[in-house]
Amino acid sequence: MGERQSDGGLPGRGSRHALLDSDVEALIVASLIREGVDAGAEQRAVAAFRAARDAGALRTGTRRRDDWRARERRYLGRSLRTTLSVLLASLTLGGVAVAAIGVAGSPDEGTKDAPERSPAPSSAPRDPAQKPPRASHGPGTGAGSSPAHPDRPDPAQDTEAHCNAYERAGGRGRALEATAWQRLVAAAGGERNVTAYCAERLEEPKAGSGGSGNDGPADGDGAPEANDGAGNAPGNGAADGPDNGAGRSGSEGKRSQSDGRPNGRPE
Amino acid sequence: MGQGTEPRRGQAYDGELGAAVARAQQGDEAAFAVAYRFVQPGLLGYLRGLVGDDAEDVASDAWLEIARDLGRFRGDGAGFRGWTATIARHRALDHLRRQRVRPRSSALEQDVLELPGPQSTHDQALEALSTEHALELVRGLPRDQAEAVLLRVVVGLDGPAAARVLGKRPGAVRTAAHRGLKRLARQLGAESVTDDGPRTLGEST
Repeated sequence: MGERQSDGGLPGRGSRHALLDSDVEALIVASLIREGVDAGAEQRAVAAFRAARDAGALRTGTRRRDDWRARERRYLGRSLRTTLSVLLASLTLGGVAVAAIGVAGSPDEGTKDAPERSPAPSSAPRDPAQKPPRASHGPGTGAGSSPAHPDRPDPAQDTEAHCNAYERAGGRGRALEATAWQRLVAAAGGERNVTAYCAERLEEPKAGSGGSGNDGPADGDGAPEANDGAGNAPGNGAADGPDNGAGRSGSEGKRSQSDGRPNGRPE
Repeated sequence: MGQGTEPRRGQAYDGELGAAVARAQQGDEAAFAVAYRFVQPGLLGYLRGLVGDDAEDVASDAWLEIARDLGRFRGDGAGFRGWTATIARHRALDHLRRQRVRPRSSALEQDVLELPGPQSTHDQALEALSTEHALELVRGLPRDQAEAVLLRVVVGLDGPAAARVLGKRPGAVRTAAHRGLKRLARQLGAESVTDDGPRTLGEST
């Protein structure tokens, strides 16, 4: 319609000083396509089909080049989903990993460093057994240190986040950010164990969440691990919270006083 | 019809074609013949653009392979056109390679010689121009442009499918098709200036 206007309204391709794509296309179609097929050629093709069919060729496997199922759309959809989840995972895990590296290095170092570096309560749930000795010192300060790093997730949550991402990625660990994946593998003790490890990991917090929830914000931050949280909830919670801080009480005193207190005590 | 781009050739019957292919894959011979009739004209047109007069032979070769490998194919009607075009293209390129090794008077030169001159009767000349000469012009395009135009226009593939047949990125194929069409439009348009003369003359007398 509109295209004809440039032709000065003349019908057909009488004046073709400026041929339009559609005209050229029509011309090509007219010049290259002849409707109808040669009967002999068709018969030969059908005979070839019959022979192939009878020889069982219809049951041969599909090669990549034979698969013409809406590939582009499928790929687009998948790549979009993958991109989004990878983006999400790397945003979450990237931040978590960086923070966790700064906080704890590896769990073992974490305990050594604990006194000086005051790594958030993160090390507490990991090594609950090592805490009690320090429990007796200044009870007040410990919990206070957790608000000092309010947005720094501890390794347990870290692992949990990795596991969540791992499950979201459908068990394809490679889809995770490399660092996150390696940490997860390290935590699980081998690539093969990741699935089982995560299954275990992701169940625990649910069981323990009730307990840690009772403990109030400060402890909740520090003790997402099931057994710890659950055990603490009723009676030990108060005692355990302070534990964490015992070693740091001296150095961290000021800070914990300034910003820690409101949430510090479960009571 | 008024829209800038009419539905591409072939797309109108893709549903039927897909159904026929599916039945053929179950072993239905008649369905295979139906698919053949749907696909062959466009395929042959594409091959004409590639290998000229040898198109029929090359198409026959291609159909032998299509018949043999039909069980492997996965996809719908549009996919089938892309798949068959890929097979036909490989056969055509083989053919051209053989020709290059053992050259003979190429179809191209022959066609040029047989091209009706401007002295022919105007109506005949115009008619001939719209067929033989258009084919010649298409074949005169750089290969990538010619193939992009043929796959899009004659076989009726969409951009991504044409790109897959050619093993190129869709953007490159889109550009090539666009340039090819523009070039054809220029050539045809330039010629039509000289054609218009005799034609108007013929009509007015």
